[in-house]
Formats: sequence, C-alpha cells, structure tokens
Amino acid sequence: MKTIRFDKRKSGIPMVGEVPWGTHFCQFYQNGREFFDVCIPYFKAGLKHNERCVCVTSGPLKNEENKFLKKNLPRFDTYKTSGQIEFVSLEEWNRNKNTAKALFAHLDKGIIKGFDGLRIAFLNFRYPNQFTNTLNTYNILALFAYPHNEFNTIGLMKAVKNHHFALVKNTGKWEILKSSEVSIIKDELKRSEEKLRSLFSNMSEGFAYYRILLDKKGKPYDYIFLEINDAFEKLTGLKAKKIIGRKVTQVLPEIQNDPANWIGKFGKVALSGKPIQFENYAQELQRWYTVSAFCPHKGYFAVTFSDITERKKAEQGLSTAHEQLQMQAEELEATNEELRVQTDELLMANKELQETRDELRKSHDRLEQRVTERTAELQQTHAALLAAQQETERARRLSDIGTLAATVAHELRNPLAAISMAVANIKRKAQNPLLEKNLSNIGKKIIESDQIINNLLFYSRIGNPHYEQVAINQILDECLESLSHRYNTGEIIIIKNTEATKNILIKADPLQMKEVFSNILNNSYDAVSKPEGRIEITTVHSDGLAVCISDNGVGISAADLGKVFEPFFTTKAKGTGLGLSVCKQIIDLHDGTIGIESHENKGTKVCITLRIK
Amino acid sequence: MSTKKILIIDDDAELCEEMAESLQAEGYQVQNTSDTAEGESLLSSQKFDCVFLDYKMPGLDGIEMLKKIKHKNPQTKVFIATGRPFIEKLLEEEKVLSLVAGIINKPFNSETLINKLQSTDKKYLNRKRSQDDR
Repeated sequence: MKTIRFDKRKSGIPMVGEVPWGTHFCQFYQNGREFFDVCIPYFKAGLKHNERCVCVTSGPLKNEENKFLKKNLPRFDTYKTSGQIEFVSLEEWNRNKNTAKALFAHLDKGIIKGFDGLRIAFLNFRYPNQFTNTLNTYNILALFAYPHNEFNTIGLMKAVKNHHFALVKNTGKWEILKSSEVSIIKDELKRSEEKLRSLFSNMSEGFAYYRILLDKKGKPYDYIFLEINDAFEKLTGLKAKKIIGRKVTQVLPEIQNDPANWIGKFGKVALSGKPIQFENYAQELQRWYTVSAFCPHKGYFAVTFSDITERKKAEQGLSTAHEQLQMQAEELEATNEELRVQTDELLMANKELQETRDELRKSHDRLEQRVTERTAELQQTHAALLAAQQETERARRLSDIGTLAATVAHELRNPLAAISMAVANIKRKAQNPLLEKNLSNIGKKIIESDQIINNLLFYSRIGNPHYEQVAINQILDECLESLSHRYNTGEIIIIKNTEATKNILIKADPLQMKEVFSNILNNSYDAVSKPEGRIEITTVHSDGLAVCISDNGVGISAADLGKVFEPFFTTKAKGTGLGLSVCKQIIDLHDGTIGIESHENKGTKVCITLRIK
Repeated sequence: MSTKKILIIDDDAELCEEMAESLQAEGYQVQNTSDTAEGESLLSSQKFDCVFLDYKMPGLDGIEMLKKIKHKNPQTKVFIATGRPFIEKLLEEEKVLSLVAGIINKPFNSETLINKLQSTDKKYLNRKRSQDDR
C-alpha cells in the first residue's frame, strides 16, 4: 500500500519507538524467547492500532507457542478469529512464486477489512530483498528475525545492510545496529520527507489522507483522518491535533446527513480505485470545495481540495446576473415579439399607404397630365383668342377705316363727277384748242383721284372672295395691260417668265387678284429708276402656284420692311399706304402666302403663293 | 330719240347744273333739283322720260323715290348715280334692281353719261320694236 511517509506507527519496541510505514528491520535472536521478546510487543502495538498482523513462522504454531501468545497478547483468540492476526508457515510462504505479490495480498486483505496497514514478521526468511525495496511506499511494517548463530560477522553485517536497522542482544540488552549506508539513506529520507512536508504544508490546496471504514457488509460508513496539511487547516478551520486519528463523523457529525454523501463518494474511490473530481458544498462547513479524490491503495483515499466559495459566489452572482439577463432577454423577446407584430402591422399599413400613395401619384400624374393638356389647350385657345382678338381688333380697325374710306370716297366722287362734267361743258363751249391740254390734264387727275378712291374703297370692301375659275396668266396680262400707259414709255423692261402657269386655272376672286397684282406692279414701277428699270414676273407651278414680281428698284430699308403690310404705311410721297395691306388681306382670304424680300438700292422681290383649288 | 324730258335729282347742285348743261347741249329737255321736296313735286306735276337719281341725299331714300317714280309712271327710266360701291348688290337685296335702267358710277364724264342714256334708249327701242313686230 502506498503511503505517506510521515504516517508514523508505533513499533511497540521501546528502543525503536515510532517508525513510518514502509519500515523494515531485522532481529538476531539466540533462541525462541529472544524472538518473542521483540515480536510480542511488535504485534501488540499493531493489534492495538488497527493494523493487520501476519506472522510467518517455520511451521504451525506449537501448543506452547499458542499458549505463550495467548498469555502475552491480550484478546489473542479474538484477533485470531477476526483475522486481524494470522500465522503463516514459512513453507507455505515460500511456495508463493512472487513473495512481494503475496505480501501485498495480505495488505489488501487487511485494508478491505478496515485496517490501517499490514504489520508482518518473518521468522528466518532469508530473501527479504524480494520486496524490501518496494516496502517504503506501502503501509507495511516488516520484521525479519534471523537466528544469530547462523550468521558470521560478515553475514550479519550484510543482513544489517539489507534493512533499515537491526536489533541485536548485547550483554542482555537489545541494541540497535545501523549501517552507515542506512543512516545516509535515512537522512536523505528525512530531507525528502521534510521537502514533502514543506510541499504539503505550503501547497495552497488542502490535502487530507483518510482511511475508509466499512461496515460488516463491506459498505463504507465512515472514514478516519490520517493526515492533513496546513492548507487543510486553513481552509476548513479544523486543526490537525483535534482530528487526526478521529472519525469524520466525530469531527463533523452532520456529514452523515449531508446530501453530498461524502462518505459514500470517498468510499467508492477508496474501494474502486477510480479517482473522482467534483465540486460540492459542505453544509457543515458552509463552504464550496472543488475536490479531487484518489486512491493510493485500497481502503485509503487522499483528497486535495480548494475552497471555491468565493468563486462560487461569483458564479452565483454570475448565475443571478445570467438569470436576470435571461429574464431580460425573455422580456426583450416578448417586447421583440410585440414589436414584430407591430412591425408587421406597420408594414401592412405602410403597404396600404404605399398603394394609396401609388394611386395618389397615379391620380396626381393623371391630373398633372390633364392639367398639362388643359394648359396646352388653354394656351392654344389663349393664343387663338389672342390671334382672334388681334384679328378682331385689326378687322375693327379696318372696318373703321373702311367706313371712313367709303364715306370719303362717296363724298369725293360727287365733286369729281361735277368737275368731270364741268370740264366736258367747258371743252364743248370754248371750242378752244389752247384749253385742250389743260382740260385733258384735269381729266387725268380726275382718273388718278378716282384710283385713290378706288384703293380706299377696295380696302374697305374686302370681303369674302367671289371665287371663279381664273387663268392666272390672263389676270397678270390684264394687269400689265391696264398699267401699260405707265410702262409703255420704253424705259422700263418687263420680263415675263410665266410659261410655267400657262393655261393654269386657279380658284380665286378675279377682281381681288387683279387688285393684288396691280398694286405690286405699281409699287415696282414706282421703285425703279427709269433708264435701267427692270421688272420681272416669274411664275412657278408645283403643288400650288407661286407668282414672284421682282424689280431692281430702290428697295426697302430693313427697318421699314416689317411695316410694309401695315395699313397706311408708305414711303412714297403720294400713296395711301394701303396697297400691300390690301394685298395681304386678299391673299390671306385666299389661304395663300405673301412674302417680301428687299435690299436697299438693290431691289425688292414679292412672292405670292396660292392654292390651285 | 325717244327720251326727251329728263329730271336730275342730286344734292350736289353744281353737278346737277353741269349734267343738265351737257345733256341740254345734246338736245335733251332737262330739269334739275338738289332739293328732294322739289324733285318730288316736279315728278308729281310733270311726266319725265328719264330720271337721274342720286342714291342717297338729305331727306331722300333713293329706293323709296325709285319705287314712287316707277309706281307713278313705269315708263320713266331711272338711272342711279352714285359714288357708292356695290350699289347693284344693294339694289338686288332690296329687289329693285329690275326697276333701274342703269347705274352710273361717280365720277363720270359726259361721254359716259350720254352713252348710258343712249344705250338704254337703243335697248328700249329694240324691245319696243320686237313687241310691235308681234
């Protein structure tokens, strides 16, 4: 059995005193009496201190030997019956192939029965080397008895050397013989033990060494403190002096009721040899411990432990905090769920809103479009209205002008008619050739005046055209013909490029058309200077019809060009300023266009386009 | 020459005088007036072959006068002398165009005047001759 070196045992031999487990020593005896001198107190101490005792003798106990033992060992029979003491013959012992194994079997037998260890004595067993080297780690004490007379000095020295010490009777008194080697080893052991003690004393973990106690059925019911370290004292508050050698149930009576079942747990470790580790709360001590228990040998267990009460408190704090967190998490989860529901509702509402918004946007777009359309329509209408208003304004103005013109024309025509008639009367009555020229001039001026009146009247009476099928070239020819009295001086060149519209008929008011071309041709005539004057009439026939009348006259300044279609605008010394205005009116009524290009001192070109139907 | 007796009614007195002189020089018997009331009284007291009537003059509605003249003596040829444009259209609208022998646009000269007068005479004569032939 592995043991703790400082677990000292009472040897029972006065001069030897206490020895640690693992001690083996020898005895040299002269006779049987001397053997028993040592053996009896040796076993007596062992039996008293709960050790299993085994005696290996030369043969079965003789009667007198039995009697002697019975006499000298109190309750010998009881011990013998209970098996605490056993006698084995050397012959039987030597049959063991492995004597060390046999020795340990005896130890285990004792431990299982609840003994602290094995105390053995060998009578004349000559092969102690078979196991003495390993004894020191087990709870074994061994005595080897050798007959003194069978050893010479060297043999005796060898024997002594093989054991920790030897007992020799010298002059009637037992003395201890130690080889120097043994002393050295013992010193080393002592140092080692001190080191170990120091280690044990200084280790922060509590350490305790126990022996388990079993009831008759082999079930653990208690354990005994065998050894503890300083840390144990500090951690548990239990002092070694008060507890070593005592049962735990005596030290801590409540341990039997502790639900941690310490005794059961440790008993299992001590019997099965399986180490355990656990954390537990010792109710009696009101402390938390982390405990490692292992079994150095059957029936014994060692325990190292640390006080983890603080850590446990911290852990409990953590646990509480964890629980609080858990609760908070659950609350959060609940809140979260609620939020999720609300989010879902919001999402739904949002979706509805989105849809509503989309619809609104669509409606808005439609409205926008309608507004845009209506605005465009309104703008068009407005533009049309504006144009119409302008047209109305213009028409009203023209109407006013027309009314005025008609009145003036009518009023002037009476006197002109009277003058004309008077001229005729004068001519007839005078019959004077000298007056002929003057009267002729008056007649001319009357015609001119009437032409001015005509213009005014034409302007005033421009109404819806009286459409007829009109040969455009014929109209142009008639205009040239009626104006021939102006051109036929030979000083102005008239160029006609009207082949394109030969035999082309258009739907137009012939009188209005004549008015248009007469006006334009008159303008050209007025513009050109006589010697190199040139008027060109060009017609084009394509989809519609175009008549362009150009001259190489004085032209119109850029500033004036924009005003030429305004009524009463004129640059001529004489003229109503109605000519081109009349032309534009008529062409507009015919759904045609009239345009004018002009460069000062280079000439003017007027182009008219008309629809053929 | 069937037309001999002519009445001129025009508010332009000078025109009336010049016209009368010219027509008299051609051998016609001419009376003239610039006064509507006098014109009416002349028309009611005498019978004229031909009347030159101003379309519009103070106190005179040309169309009413025309109707009166033609009503009293349908044989009287009435010429409308006017400076107004589109007078034919106007007369047509009033449904009296057929009552007038001719329209003389002012300003006119004596040739125009006499030509008009004579041309209607010829038409008249031709029409009468063809009627007689039947």
